Parts: sequence; C-alpha cells; structure tokens
Amino acid sequence: MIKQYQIFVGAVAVAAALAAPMRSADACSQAAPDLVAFPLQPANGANAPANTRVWIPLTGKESAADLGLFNSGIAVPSEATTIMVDNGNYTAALVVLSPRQALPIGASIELQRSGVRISQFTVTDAVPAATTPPSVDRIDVDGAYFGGLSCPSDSRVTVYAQPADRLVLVLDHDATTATLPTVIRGIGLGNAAVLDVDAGTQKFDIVSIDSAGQLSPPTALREVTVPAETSGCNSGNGSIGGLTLLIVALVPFARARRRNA
Amino acid sequence: MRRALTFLSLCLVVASALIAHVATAAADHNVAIGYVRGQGLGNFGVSAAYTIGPLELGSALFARVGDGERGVAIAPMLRLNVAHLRRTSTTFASTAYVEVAPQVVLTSFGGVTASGTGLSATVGYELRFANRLGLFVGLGLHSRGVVAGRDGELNVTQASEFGPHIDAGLRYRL
Repeated sequence: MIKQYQIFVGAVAVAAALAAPMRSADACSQAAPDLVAFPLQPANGANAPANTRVWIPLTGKESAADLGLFNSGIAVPSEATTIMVDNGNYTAALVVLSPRQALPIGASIELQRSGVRISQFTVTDAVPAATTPPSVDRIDVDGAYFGGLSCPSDSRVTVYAQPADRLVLVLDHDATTATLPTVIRGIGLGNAAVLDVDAGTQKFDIVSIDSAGQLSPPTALREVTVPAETSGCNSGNGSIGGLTLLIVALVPFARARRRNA
Repeated sequence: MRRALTFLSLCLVVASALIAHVATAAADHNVAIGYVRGQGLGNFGVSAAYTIGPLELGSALFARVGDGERGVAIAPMLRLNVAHLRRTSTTFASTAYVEVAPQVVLTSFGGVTASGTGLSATVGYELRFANRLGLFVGLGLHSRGVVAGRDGELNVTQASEFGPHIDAGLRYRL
C-alpha cells in the first residue's frame, strides 16, 4: 500500500524533473537579431542636403571598403567610419560615409557597393546642424524570461523618440558625441532597442541624426532599472537555492521516518 | 482585480494578526508564525496563519529586494491539512496539505512603481514537533502575470512567469 510520504517523495521527483530546463537551447534557437535593421539614410531616391552623411547598415561580410559615393561616375572623396552596435551577446556594424567637401547642389549621388549601385539621392541646399536633442516619447524597459517552460526572451530597453523618421542612437552615458562614436548600444529608425541588458541600473544617452545625417546633441542622462529575469524553473529567486533548502528540509523527515520505523 | 486582491491580501494579514492576538489564550496553539520561502516569490518571507479544524487561513509577506528592486509580495493562503495532525510518534505529528494562494506583487524598479498578480497551488508535508515548531516543504505550480508600472516616459515590465516552485518554511505555533 502506498504511504503518504511515498506520494510526497514522488511529487518531489516530479517537481524536480519539472524544475530542470524543459527545452534545450536548440528547441528555442533564434536567429541572431538584426541590430542594424534600418533603411539607408538618406533613403533611395530622396533629396539630401549638401553637407549630408550617409548611414549604411552592413550585412554579411561587407566592410566599409566595399562602399563608395559617386557623382556621375566619379568617386566622391569620403571618410568612412565604422560603428559597432554591441548589445552584449551580438554585434553588428554600420558605416557612415562623410564626404570631405560639400556635395554639389543638384548633383545625383550614387551609393555603390562593390561597384553596384544600391542607392541614389539628389543634393539640395546644406542645412545647419541640429542644436537640440531628440524628444523622447517613451522608454520601454522589459525584464527577461529565462526559458524553462517556454522559449526565453531577452531583457531590453527600447527608446522611442521624435522625429520618428530619423535614426535614434543609444549610447553609453560616457560616450562622446563630439565625433561619430565607434561603439553604440542600439540604433533604429524612430526607435532603438538595446537587447540583452543586465538586470539593475542602466545609464545611457540618446541622440538622433538630423536631416543631414549629423548627430544631434545628446539628451539628458537616462537611468532605468531593468527588472530581474523570471524563469519557468524558478523555485523562488533561484532553483539552486530552492533545491538546497529542499534537501536540508528533507533531512528531519528522513530521520523522523527512521525513528518511527 | 489587482486592487481587489491587494485589499484581500491586506485584510488577511490584518485578520491573521487580530486572530493571533485573540487566540493567545487558546491552549491548542492555533496560530502559527514563521519563516517561509517559495511560491516563486523569493527566499525571504514571513507568514502567519490560523487553524480552524483542517483548514488554515493566513498570509505570507515576501521581500523583493535586489537589482534596483524594492518591494513586497503578499500571498494570502488557504491550506487544507489532508491528514489533520496524524500523530505518528510521541515527538511529532505530521500532515500532508494542499494550499492555494493568490499573489500580489507591489514593487518598485528604480522608482517606477509596478504591480502584478498571480496564483499558486502547492502540495506539501508538515512535521509538527512537540516543542511547537513546525517544518514544512511543498511543491507546486505558480502563474504570475507581468509586473508592470509606468512613470512618465518610463514603462517598466517584468516578464510573466509560470512554473514549479519549492516551498519550505519553519513555523512556531502560539
């Protein structure tokens, strides 16, 4: 006949099995996030001021050397700056081409990748650089779910800023904006998500680019608290702690059973 | 719903304290207070409960501190002692139990007040020793919705959670 304590021990075994991660990493495998999922700036076919910079997301094994600006087939001398987007687990890169001289007004400028045209814009009057930081509409701070009973989700901070048709960049708080940064934490058109942030306090600045692709001044420091990750196999604040406590707690039960036998 | 659960939780905490006060003269030690961990709410909790026959009515209060979080979780509970105080030796009695407990999380992430609700169900086993100490362990499932809050431009969300939990606790019967 099954005794009460045997049912309990069986329940312990079932729960311990449940507490183990139920899905392998493969079962939840996700493609690496596209950290530079933004359209070319300026957009293909658009007008752009004479002092514009060109922002280009890199894909695959491309590099800055593959890219160039051409005016009627003649290369436009430009400085290429590679910016890494580093979200913690993944990195991606983008390139900013800065013509060394103002582009001729009315010219049709082509952006070529390895000799193939990928974009074109028409040059208009130069515009003064932006003097105000972007206006931040909303900052979403999402704590992660760490698998167990379903696939995980990353902790992330997503910044929504105006103008919504401009690139938004999230930078480490101590990053300089006097020149183009070499590492940023996130970028996007109208909003920028920073993935895989750690739980706890995160400090960052937000900038956007103006119509000429120049960086705006940074916003005031933003400081947010990312909630701790939750888990489907969490037995409190940590399943290791829970299992330890369970083992410790079971000792008197075992002794009591032995004494009673 | 969240306000109702919060109100219910606070009522149960207050009721448990009042019952404990009224019952101090009772000889059968119906009031139990002590430490508890689990329910997917953390390792640091205090609990109070009052026993009425095979039923226990009470509440646990968990601290949620760390990673910029400051808050509490309240879990009023209803426990049914299945084998009520089955005396298996001269030094202790034991009982299996089934427990359900709604959860209310009231917390703050870096100054952004957030809240969420959940529910847990647990089966467990308690040893009650002659010195009035009780030791219990339990296993169960809990489901908690997102814990979310908004303050100005900041919108903070902690992911929902569903999964097993391991309870453990040490109680003293007054």
